[in-house]
Amino acid sequence: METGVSARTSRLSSRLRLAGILVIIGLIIEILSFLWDHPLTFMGFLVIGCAFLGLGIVLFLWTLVTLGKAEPSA
Amino acid sequence: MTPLAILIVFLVVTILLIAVIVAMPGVTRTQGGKVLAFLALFLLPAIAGWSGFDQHMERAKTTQFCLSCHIMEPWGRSLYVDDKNYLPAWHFQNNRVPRDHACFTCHTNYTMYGDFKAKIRGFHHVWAQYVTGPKLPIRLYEPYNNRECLHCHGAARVFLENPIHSAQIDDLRSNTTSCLTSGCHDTIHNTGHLDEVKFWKPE
Repeated sequence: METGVSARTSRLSSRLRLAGILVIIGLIIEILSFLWDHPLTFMGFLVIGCAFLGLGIVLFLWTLVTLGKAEPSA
Repeated sequence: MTPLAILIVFLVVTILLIAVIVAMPGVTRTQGGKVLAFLALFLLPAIAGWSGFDQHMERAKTTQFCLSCHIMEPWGRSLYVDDKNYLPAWHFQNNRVPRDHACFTCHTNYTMYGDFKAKIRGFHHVWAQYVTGPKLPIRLYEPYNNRECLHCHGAARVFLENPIHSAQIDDLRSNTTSCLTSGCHDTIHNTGHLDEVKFWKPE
């Protein structure tokens, strides 16, 4: 029982980390896209930056749905 | 502080908040940590993404952006032709359109979501520029709509009191007769003749 909770917590942590890293990459791409005023930076933001942002957000929401059940209080 | 600077500060703060979650995912076991995770991994990135898109859309309206593709260079040069018969040049040089948004002012539809439709076409332009190659000669997708002219001129006294305009005002408003009809305002960018004209040099 305790092992199951611990495994779930570990999976939760690793998914939150991954979601966070994906969103951070998306946000960094967004910041970089503002350095040049060119159609390619717009496309870079839209295609690459938004993809990372979207993946991170979806992974976070997916984590909430699948692993985010309230843990029994000790 | 400019809107862009505010947005960048917002993005940096969001990154820092996410970094807390990445470094210490255990904080999400507390109520406050759950709220932080929701803000940092959902709400703030969603706002950041939308704000970034909005910022890019605004930047895409600038003259500099439109002329950043090499193929548009002659159209940019045509804005400096020293001849008042060149309609875009005359508008540009006399601030009848904002110089920093010169292209977008005349080449968009003033209908609801018109600028979004224009941006969808913009994506097609990027695709054509880098993948399929532009179709030459460059033409508008559809004949120039008088609405773009009448948006500013339509209610102007000097326009309405001009007998040539007033005689055919209904045709102009319904787009039956183009403002660019031969014999009227028919000298537009004329990029094929830029070697034969003088250019205005702003001081």
